[in-house]
Amino acid sequence: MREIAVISGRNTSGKDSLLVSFFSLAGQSVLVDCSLEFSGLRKVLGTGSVKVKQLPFFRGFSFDADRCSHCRKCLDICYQHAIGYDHDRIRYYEYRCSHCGSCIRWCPLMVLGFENQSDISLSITETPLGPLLFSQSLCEPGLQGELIRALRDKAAGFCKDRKLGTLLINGSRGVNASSCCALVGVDVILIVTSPSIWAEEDLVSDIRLSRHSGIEPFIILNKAGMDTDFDDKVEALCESNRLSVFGRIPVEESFRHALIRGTSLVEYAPGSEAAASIRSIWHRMNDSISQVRP
Amino acid sequence: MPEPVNITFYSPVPGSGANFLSVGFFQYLTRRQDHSVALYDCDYQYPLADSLLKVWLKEEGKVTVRLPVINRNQCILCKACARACAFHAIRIEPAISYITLDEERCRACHACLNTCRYDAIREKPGEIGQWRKYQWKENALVFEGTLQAEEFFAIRFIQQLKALPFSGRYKLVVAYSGMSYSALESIHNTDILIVVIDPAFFDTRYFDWILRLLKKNDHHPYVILNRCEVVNNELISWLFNNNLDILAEIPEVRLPGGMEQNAEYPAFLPDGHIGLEACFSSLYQFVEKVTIIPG
Repeated sequence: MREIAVISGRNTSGKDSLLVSFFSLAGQSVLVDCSLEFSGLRKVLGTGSVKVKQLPFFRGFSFDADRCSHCRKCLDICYQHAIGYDHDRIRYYEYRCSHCGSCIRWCPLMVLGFENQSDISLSITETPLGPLLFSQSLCEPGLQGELIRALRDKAAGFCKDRKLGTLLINGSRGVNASSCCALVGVDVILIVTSPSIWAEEDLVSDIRLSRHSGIEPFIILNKAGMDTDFDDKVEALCESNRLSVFGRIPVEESFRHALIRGTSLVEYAPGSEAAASIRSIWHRMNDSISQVRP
Repeated sequence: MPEPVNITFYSPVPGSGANFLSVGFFQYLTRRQDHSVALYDCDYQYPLADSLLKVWLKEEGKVTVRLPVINRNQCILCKACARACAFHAIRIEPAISYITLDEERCRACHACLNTCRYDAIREKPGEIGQWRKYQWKENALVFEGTLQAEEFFAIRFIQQLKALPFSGRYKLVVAYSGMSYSALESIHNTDILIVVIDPAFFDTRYFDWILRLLKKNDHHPYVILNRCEVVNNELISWLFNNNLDILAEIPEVRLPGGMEQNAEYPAFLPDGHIGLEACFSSLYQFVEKVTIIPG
């Protein structure tokens, strides 16, 4: 099994469209969406029925409003301000809570508590191209890495069970624990960049991120020809990092139309220049993988 | 002095254009010169202000949380704090018989501080990031910062960034995009929540989920459609079914030759882009209508 990760610094660089195209080119493959925010992948591919699998390692919060004496002790105790008080009732802001348990210990009536069930889950959907795994639930920032690990484990299991050869990974945004988690142990990292004012800054941090996981990345320049100055800048940047631009995809209107119709560009406009360049990138990448791992 | 009006721009799909709209609206409000305006950028990973606007640094500081520190002289080794810590940051070294605190695991929840009866745990400031205050025009300030600690401090970081003092009329907040705890925290306590949607990236299931979470936290969103040439009937019917109002529709802004750094508002638009100008003026009228100054 080979694992191919695609990352890009900020969004709107065309990473999702590219991944969908790769997914249809790869044939026998599994796609994992490690970006816990929304991505175009789910819109394009996640339209079928979704199987949801609960994950047990997260805790939820419970509160018994009937027994509460409104002493407001918990408000003073919680240093995170996760418990608020308005309109004569206790309000709980889940996103601020670190589940430290201070409030439970201090509540004289013990009406606050944790329960093991929560709505954190993995979603699996069977698309015409292959299975897509993603997660549509909120979890604490500290636990996102764990969630991504669970997603990748599950996907690797899929590959093993169904004897699929390729695991495509949609990397998560930014440079942090969860984006590192999405890149650990992959075979190839593709960095997608496209003209924007942040692109150079992002490219540098993405190169750093992929070198952190021990892999020399392939750089793909999307929307090439839109801004020739930018193309030159990316080339110079790659050169100074001892890399080269692996592929260029020209500006293509059909990308957005393909997204709306829910297909990949390779299927929607197979004759276009962009589709041809995506195909060439895919084949050259496969060649380079087989050179490393015959 | 009345509290500033908090207007939050949020894009559920990262890359929908909330950043550009907020900066554009910020420039629009500044140009009117009626009141002073501040822009708070909650994106702790990728702050935008210094790359979009020609700003100069006015003030900077550290964002800190109060970390516990153990005072061994007063500790009687009752282990209450170790039991209280949900993250196993406090341990007792059996050979040396004293308590150690693992700062990498500590989330500064103060459970140990609340538990200790012998005053053996004190507080010390621990840095989790920096904030910066920029001046753009006389009446326009920009606040942003970068987080330099574990991601679970992001919520605390956004809380403190949004609490930085500003006494003007409009407080524009750029929320952390996507749906996460950081996004919910940056939307917290807003007067007007504006959700920027790109019709090309609309997905019913995802937006249903977002709307449920926003409603759960008592937010009522208003919608701006960005890059609205693409007509998505699914989106229109979804907005209608959920009683959401469209404040404005903006056609795609094509920037010839990419975006120039440090561009100013009229300059970063192609000439005669009526859509954006009309959007801002209708947005301004809406804000004025919703928040009438008493007196």
